[in-house]
Amino acid sequence: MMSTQEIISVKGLKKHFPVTKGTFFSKVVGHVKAVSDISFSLRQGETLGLVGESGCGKSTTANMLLGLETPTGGQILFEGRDITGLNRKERFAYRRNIQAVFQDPFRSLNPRKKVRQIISEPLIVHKVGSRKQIDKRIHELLELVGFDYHHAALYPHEFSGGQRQRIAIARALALEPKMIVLDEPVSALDVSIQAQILNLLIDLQKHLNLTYVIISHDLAVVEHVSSMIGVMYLGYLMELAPSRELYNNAKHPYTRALLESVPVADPENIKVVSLEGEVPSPLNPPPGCTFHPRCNEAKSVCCEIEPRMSEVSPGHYYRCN
Amino acid sequence: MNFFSKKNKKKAKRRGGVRPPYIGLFCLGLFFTAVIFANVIAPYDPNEGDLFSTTIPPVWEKDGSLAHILGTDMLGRDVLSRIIHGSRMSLLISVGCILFYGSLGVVLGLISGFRGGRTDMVIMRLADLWLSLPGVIVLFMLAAVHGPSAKTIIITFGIMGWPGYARIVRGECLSLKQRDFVRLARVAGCSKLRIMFSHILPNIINTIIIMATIEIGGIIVMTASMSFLGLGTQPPSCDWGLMLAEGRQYITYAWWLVTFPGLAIVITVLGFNLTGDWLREVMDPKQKLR
Ligand SMILES: Nc1ncnc2c1ncn2[C@@H]1O[C@H](COP(=O)(O)OP(=O)(O)O)[C@@H](O)[C@H]1O
Ligand code: SF4
Ligand SMILES: [Mg+2]
Repeated sequence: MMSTQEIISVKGLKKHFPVTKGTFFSKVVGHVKAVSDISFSLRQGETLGLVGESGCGKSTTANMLLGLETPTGGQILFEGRDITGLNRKERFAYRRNIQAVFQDPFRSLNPRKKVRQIISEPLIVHKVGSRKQIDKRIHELLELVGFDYHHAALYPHEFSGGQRQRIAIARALALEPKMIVLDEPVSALDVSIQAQILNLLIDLQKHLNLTYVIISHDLAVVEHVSSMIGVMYLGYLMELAPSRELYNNAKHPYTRALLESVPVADPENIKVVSLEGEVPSPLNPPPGCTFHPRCNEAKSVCCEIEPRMSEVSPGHYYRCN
Repeated sequence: MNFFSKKNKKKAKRRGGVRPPYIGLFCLGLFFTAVIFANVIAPYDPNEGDLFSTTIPPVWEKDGSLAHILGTDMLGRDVLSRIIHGSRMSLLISVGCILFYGSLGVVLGLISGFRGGRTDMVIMRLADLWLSLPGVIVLFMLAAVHGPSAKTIIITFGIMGWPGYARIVRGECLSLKQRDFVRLARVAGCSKLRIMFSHILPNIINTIIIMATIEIGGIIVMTASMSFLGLGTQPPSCDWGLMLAEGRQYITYAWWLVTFPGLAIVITVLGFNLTGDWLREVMDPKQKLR
């Protein structure tokens, strides 16, 4: 039951954190350019995988989608409506549509609350249903992620990392959101458990027609789950393409470098990582193409002209001179 | 509460086990026995003097009498009974102070840490300013206006003591604010008030309890000093500080009038401090106070 309705559309999203000096009459002395230009759109039931090295602005992007940070520029259209300028009441209502799962399941559950309280909190805050209905919903949600009702009475520390992440997912599902932003949902877990959680996410998506934005620093993690993949570098979306297209026909030098650094099963095929050097600071990003100091195809224009996104084939964009 | 949870016990064991402070707990046991059973165990009415038996020394001295184990004062009141009853005043005042400024400090610290920005800065500068005010002088002023009493002490310390708590709570709040469950609470639509009191506060309650336990000792000494200076409880209430003040003039020939109240203070303070240190050790070894 794949609907073709566009659910979210992000245009030129930007977040620059001011760096200030002085306490009371503070002066802005610079900006951390966490996110500079991100655009994508998703249809209901689709998954966008966002990948990039640590510090490239993935979490900041997630925070803006979730309404935890106000963008410095750009638009986030959710079902056609810009959510960047919502007032408090509208934002509260918007929150029902979009929920989140974060990286560290040891930090994303309040250690002082029981599973029941953790899962039901969104329902209580949004005043959804009576006590009895909430109880029934807790039961449903626990079963949905593979637990029994009696687990509701336990505290988070009585669960393993993977189990906690499933509790976090149950909570995210409580309000029947249309979309879930998953920021590194499996990075903190053992490899054997990563697959379990990813499979659960895929199952839930099919069942509930959910839209995902799934963030990872590891291309291999998002590979199987995503219908589309966006590659980020220093606040810019460098390449955006349908999953298979990206794997078979990567255009951007950075994407190709990333793909080469993914370990390949065939031992004769292993190539040494072609990415050298450190990611520059977002406080003072390189001029022109932010990737040029590390790009092995850099031309002289690359240090001066900031490349724009261009479409190579339908749905496949990349940012290169 | 989450005080002696299994996890904490296990943690203590794993780190080679922090032994419970037997001496401290014993001291606290004495103190709370006195507080709770004062009416039962005190042999005499603490305020009733007997002018025929003034300044009797303790029982083991030459003129001592088994009727007054720790002797009597210049009005013939039984020292042991007064010490036992005095424990109540100590507890009342110190707990009163802690509750008063503790709650003030916790609320201000929460607001400061949670709101951040200018609010934070104003509250923290205010805390600095407050710490530079001399508490004794404030107490003098209040005592001059309202008259010296236990209530005056509680109010003064209540007004003066909040910065310590505010700072600790603010620090904890700042780090908790970054924790994912707080961000997720916002995603779920929780109000700021709900996040502060339902998510952040329960996670710092341990710290607050530890701090209070450690501070009670200091407050008992402070209140005793205040009463000693005549700024606190007034005669004829039983208060250890007051007993010290009254006994001071007779110190040369009735040493027991100052020694035993002093010992009572030492034992109580020791009890609270040892227990507090242990709680801190067991519940959060990384936690640094101040
Ligand atoms: N609140 C903030 N204030 C200032 N800088 C920030 C803030 N949040 C993130 N940053 C900076 O923005 C950059 C991107 O961070 P982030 O979005 O967390 O990256 P990622 O999740 O991809 O690792 C980092 O350099 C980080 O230090
Ligand atoms: S614009 Fe230039 S530096 Fe940037 S990725 Fe393309 S070739 Fe490399
Ligand atoms: Mg991140």
